[in-house]
Amino acid sequence: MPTETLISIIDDDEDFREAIARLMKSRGFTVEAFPSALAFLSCPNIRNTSCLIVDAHMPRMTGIELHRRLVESGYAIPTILISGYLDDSVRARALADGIICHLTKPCDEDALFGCVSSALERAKPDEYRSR
Amino acid sequence: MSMETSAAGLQAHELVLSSLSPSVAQRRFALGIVLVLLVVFVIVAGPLSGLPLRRVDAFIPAYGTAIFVIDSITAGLLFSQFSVLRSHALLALANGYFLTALIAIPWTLTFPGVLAPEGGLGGGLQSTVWLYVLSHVGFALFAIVYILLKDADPIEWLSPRSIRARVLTTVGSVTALVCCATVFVTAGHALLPRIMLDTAEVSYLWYYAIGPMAALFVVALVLLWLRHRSVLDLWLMLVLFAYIIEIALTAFPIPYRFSVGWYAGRVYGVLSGSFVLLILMKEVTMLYGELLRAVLAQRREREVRLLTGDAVAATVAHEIKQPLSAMIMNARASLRWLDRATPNIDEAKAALQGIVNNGHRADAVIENIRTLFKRDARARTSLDVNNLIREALTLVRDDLRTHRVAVQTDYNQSLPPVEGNQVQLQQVLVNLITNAIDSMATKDGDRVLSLRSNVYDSGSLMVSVEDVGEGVEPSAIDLIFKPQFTTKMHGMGMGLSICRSIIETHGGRLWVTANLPQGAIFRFTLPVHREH
Repeated sequence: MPTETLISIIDDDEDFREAIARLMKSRGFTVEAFPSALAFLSCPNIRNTSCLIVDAHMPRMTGIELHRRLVESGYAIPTILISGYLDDSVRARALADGIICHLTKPCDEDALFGCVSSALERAKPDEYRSR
Repeated sequence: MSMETSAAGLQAHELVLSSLSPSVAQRRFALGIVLVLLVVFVIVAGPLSGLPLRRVDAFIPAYGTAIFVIDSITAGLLFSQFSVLRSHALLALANGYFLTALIAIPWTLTFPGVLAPEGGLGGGLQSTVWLYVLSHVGFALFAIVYILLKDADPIEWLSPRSIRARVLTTVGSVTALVCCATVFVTAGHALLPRIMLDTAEVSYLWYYAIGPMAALFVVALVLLWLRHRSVLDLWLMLVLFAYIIEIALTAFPIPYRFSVGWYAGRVYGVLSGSFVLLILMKEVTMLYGELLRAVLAQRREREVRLLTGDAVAATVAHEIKQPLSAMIMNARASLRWLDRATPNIDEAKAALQGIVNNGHRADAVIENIRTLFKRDARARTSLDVNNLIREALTLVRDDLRTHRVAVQTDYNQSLPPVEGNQVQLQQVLVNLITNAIDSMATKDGDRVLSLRSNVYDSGSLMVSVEDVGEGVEPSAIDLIFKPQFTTKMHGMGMGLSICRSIIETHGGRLWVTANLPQGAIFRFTLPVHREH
């Protein structure tokens, strides 16, 4: 598992944010956690993020809005959306926008890592992709 | 502002008097007024005609002011009706009243005896009477335009600027007309046909003038009679009728200013402005009351919804999921840290500590929601159960209508009051009624919801909510009150268990029995309020 991959986690709920960060770290990833979308956007590390795990429902800027903002600014970071309840309209909108995965809390660990792996595959530059 | 539906769900035409059909009572009332007007005319033209009355010069400015004020307020209200309803017929009628209001000014000023003995503003004896003719003919013509246009569909959409433009154009034209007319009758008064012989008496020419005038009003009245539909039309007919009598009184019995007939005619003149003003004011008050009621009902509805089982359940679910999901993640992390060749004890401990924190957080969430209920439960007042039922029915009125459910009520009028929390008991009733509606949703025949209130025993009363829907399985009679039990596709099934706990907190019981031949009867008891 490459160690230079940076996974950024954005969730306004402190408990959940810390827990998911811990889980990612236990798997060997480098993790950075942010309490809000704005905090993430003002961080200089945006470029280095290989995968984004973001909460769907946050005050001020939701996960989907953040993804859209990033796409418009030219950052094609693979994004995984996590939400507290299953909302078909949110899921449809998310998938239409190009978000890779949509999971509900509590996340199944295997499903989460499946999503993270496919996200990291996308983030790799072409010559490193497994043929 | 959308006039299409008010907050209470009423359509515009149900509220607006210019399109509402008059009720039988209103028609009878209008007929009564017609009779009164006729009787007064007969009395004035007959027995009282010879009564000598003094010439009161101060009467004229008072009368002129009254006409100006009444008619300009009426015009203003009609203009604003036009701006909201976008009907050109209303614009025409509004201008008619504006015309009569505006002419009242030069009419008063040129009247002999007000500014000058023979006619003020540089006019002569004829100025005032020709202004009178213009005012009446003008109003009749505008009324006819209203009658011809009123059944046309209103324009789909007019921008505020366009509305303002139309109003200003017509108002400007009428003002210009009145100004020109005033100048003409004053400066050119010598050119006017001689109707007035002196300041009080009319010549034979007057009869030639009032003939066409009266005919115009009769035509308008007949036209309106054939086409009348709304309350406004009904009262406009009264207005036209009053005008006809007024014109008649200027010539019969004595064509003499300041006679009884003439004074009576002036009174009829004031009435013709007042009729329309009165019903417009009545409409404004009625709408205001309706609006207040609708806003209050909406607020109450929102309050009840906030405490409905489903809403609370959704909030609880969402709030609890956060710490629970965090717990699972932390536990997984801990397992991974320990599952390595060299277990990382420190990280595992941190994760476990995280779990402890999550547990406390979940507990806090639940406590918060409990206090939310507790706080409201402290507010108890003396309540009339029948009113509670009536209000609950009002809250679900739309639902009843959509599902075509008929409601039967059987209130015991002599029930004593109960002590309870109004919002919570409303919630119970709304929940039971909504369940009844839902259980009848797939029923083909008549859907009847019955609500009854009666005495249960010496210390309590009972409310029954009866439906003819799917009913409750005998095996499920007690299960349905348990949390999480639901046969519905949506919802968490919290409703009935919350209802039962509310009723039990109030000291009563909630249970269900089968309704024959089908359906269910939900009954609950409440203890009577004891005065200490």
